[in-house]
Formats: sequence, C-alpha cells, structure tokens
Amino acid sequence: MEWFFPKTVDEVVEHLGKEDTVLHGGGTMLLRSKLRSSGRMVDLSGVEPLKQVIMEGGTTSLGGGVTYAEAAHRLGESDPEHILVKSLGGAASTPLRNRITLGGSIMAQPFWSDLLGPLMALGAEIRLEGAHSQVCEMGEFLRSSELRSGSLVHSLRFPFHSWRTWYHREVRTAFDYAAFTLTMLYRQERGMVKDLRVVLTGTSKKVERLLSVEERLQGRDAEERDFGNLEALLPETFVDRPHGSASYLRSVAAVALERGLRTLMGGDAA
Amino acid sequence: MKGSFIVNGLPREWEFPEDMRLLDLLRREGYTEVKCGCREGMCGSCCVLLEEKLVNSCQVLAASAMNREIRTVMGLSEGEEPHPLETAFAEAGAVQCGFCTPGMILAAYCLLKENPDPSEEEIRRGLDGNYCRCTGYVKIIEAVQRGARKMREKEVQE
Repeated sequence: MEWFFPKTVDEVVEHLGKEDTVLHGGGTMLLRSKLRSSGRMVDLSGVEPLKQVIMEGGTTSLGGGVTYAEAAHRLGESDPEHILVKSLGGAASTPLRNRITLGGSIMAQPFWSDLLGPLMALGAEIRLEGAHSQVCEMGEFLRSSELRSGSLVHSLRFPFHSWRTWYHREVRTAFDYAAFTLTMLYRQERGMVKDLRVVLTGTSKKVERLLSVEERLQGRDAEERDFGNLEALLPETFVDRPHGSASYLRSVAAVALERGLRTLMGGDAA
Repeated sequence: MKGSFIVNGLPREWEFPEDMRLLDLLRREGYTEVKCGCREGMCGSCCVLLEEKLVNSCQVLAASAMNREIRTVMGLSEGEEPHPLETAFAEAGAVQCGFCTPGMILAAYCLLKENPDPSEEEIRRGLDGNYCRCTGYVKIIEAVQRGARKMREKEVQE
C-alpha cells in the first residue's frame, strides 16, 4: 500500500485514473472492508475545497470531506431544526461523527445511512469530479453504480427552505445500525398542508420517497387527524433485519409515520 | 513508512506499516493509556484527541494522522497536577476497573470545552461513544458534573 496526500481536487482526479486507487476520507468505512488489497491510498484530508461549508444565495453546499459532526454543527448554528442536524447529529457516536465524511457515506451507501434519506427529501444534488464530472440529482446517483466508479464526491448542495422536520431512526439502542429511517419535511400555509416530503431508507430499494403518503396528505386541512390506514401506503420492500421481520418493521414504520405526521401537523416540538 | 506526529505536545518520528491503526502505533510506542477494546469503533476505550477532536484511534489509520496533533489522556494534565476531570473521576468513585476511564475523560473534556455546564442528558449524549461495563454510568455522570464545576471554578480563578 502506498499513501498519497494531494492538496487539490485536480491532484485527486489524477489519482482516480490509476488502477487500484482507494480514496480515504475519514477511513471508518475502509476499516470495515478489504483494506489490505488497496494498492494506492489517497488521503483527502488536505484538500481544502472538500471541507467547505457554504451557505449563500438560498443554497447550502457541503464539501464531500465535511464530517457528520461538522455538518450538524454548522447547519445547527443557523437552523437547529434542520433535518441534517437531527439525522447526522445523532448518528453513530460522537467520536465516529468526527470521522465519518459526507462523501464517504454517499459513496458507500450503507443501508443504515442517516444521510441518504434526508438528502433525498431535501432534493440534494451531488457534484462529482473525475470520470463522471457532473452535477446530478441524488436519485440518479443512487440508481447508477457507474457514476460512483472513478468519481470523487466534491460537494452536495440543496436549496434552503424553512421546514418543520421529523426524523426517526429505528434502532434497538441509541448506538445501533438503523433497521430503517423515516425522514419528513413539512410546510403548511393557511392551515393547509402545503408541502410534505417523506423518505424511507433501509428497505430493499435502499432509499424510497413515499409519494403515496405525500399525495394523500398534500393540500388537505392540517387540523384533520384521521390519516386512514397508513400501513397500506407503505411499500412491501422491507427486509428482515436483526431488529425484526420485514412485516414487523413495516408495522413499526406505520406507527412511526403516524407519530411523525401528528407531531409535524400538530406543531408540537419535533 | 516513516512519519512525524505530535503526541501530547512532543514531536515524534516513527516507522510503521502503511496499514497500521493509530491505536496500535500509540500502544507500541508506550502510550498504553490508550486502551484496546473492541477495535470496531464501538466502545470508545481507545479514544484520543486528533486535532482536538475526539476520535476512536482504532478507526484511524496512522498514516492519516501524520503531522497532526494527538492528545491522549496523559496529555490533559499540566505538569504534575492532574486535570480537574481526572480528580473528579477519582473523587466521585467513577473508576472501577479503569479500562474505559481514559476514553471517558477525553470525551468529557471535549464536551465541557463546547458546553461548560451540560445537563445530565447532554452528558449522556456527549459520552454516547464510550462504554463502561462496571459502573452503570451513574458515578461517571456525577464525575463529569463535578469536573465541570471544578473547571468553571478554575477558569474564574485564572
């Protein structure tokens, strides 16, 4: 194994073209995989553009090298209720949040991710450098394994909106891999549901936007508390996990969904 | 490979395998206050400060920590004087086997730097990456509260 310490994005891109190259962000995911087979390790910690957090012009941009802890901290300064403050601020543990990077997490896409659901709900775009230099939508990136090959996650960005937010991580203990997560963003206007986004992760599809739930509630009276049979609106894509069977997790998700809707639409503390 | 590190304020230069973890390097070089627990980033007994951020040293490749400042629990004290948090842990009886204590103290130190007067809930959250299998956490939380008071008093005196 040989280590390289580039200082610029261009230098990283040069490395990406070479065989047997592995990018090292925080390293936590690498240590769970086949580390010894990596021939060229490219450390990203010295590449300043990857560590930038920029909030301007109604858009937030987070560099791929920003850690979970830093992202939660910086976003929390301006919006303590930001969905990423809730999801990333409680992910894994304090020392791990200081190492896990956004770029590494987006690339690895673990089923227990606390990042993918909120990004999908926020309508995030990902800027890639390397073999596929482009800005792509989160959904497109998740669907295409080709985009991940030979790419560096330079940054991700999403529009700034003031949302009521709710996040649920289905875990057995605080420090546990989530069986599924539910992300909800909500806005209302004149007592009506103006905008609702619901995203589920941890199923066989990894990340799914629950359009059926959104469509049922969009535009209706926010005071209305009868949500109907929410479980029937959930997908059949739950999978068995150590936390419970697929059908059990689907039922739990329905309860979590209703709880989230009541919290958001009732205006209670989320 | 060969690399430079700054450990507890002192420059160090070591040779080490390219895939060595920071935990193993530190222990090999005599920093045995960094404990080896789970090696999976779960227990927190190997915690150190890397550029003043709490990290699991078992989850850090040593090469990625080159030319950076590393602090172990031994680096908290000033000379012969123990750090107020170390004193608080002893006074509160928050140490039984002592294996988790270095990581606990470093986690508490990071928390109190950000938040000098945390609530019990905030302490629990700040220590969420550190396991203790002896004390049941009651005495540890008491020690952090006691340490916080000591640190605030010290700051006022200075």
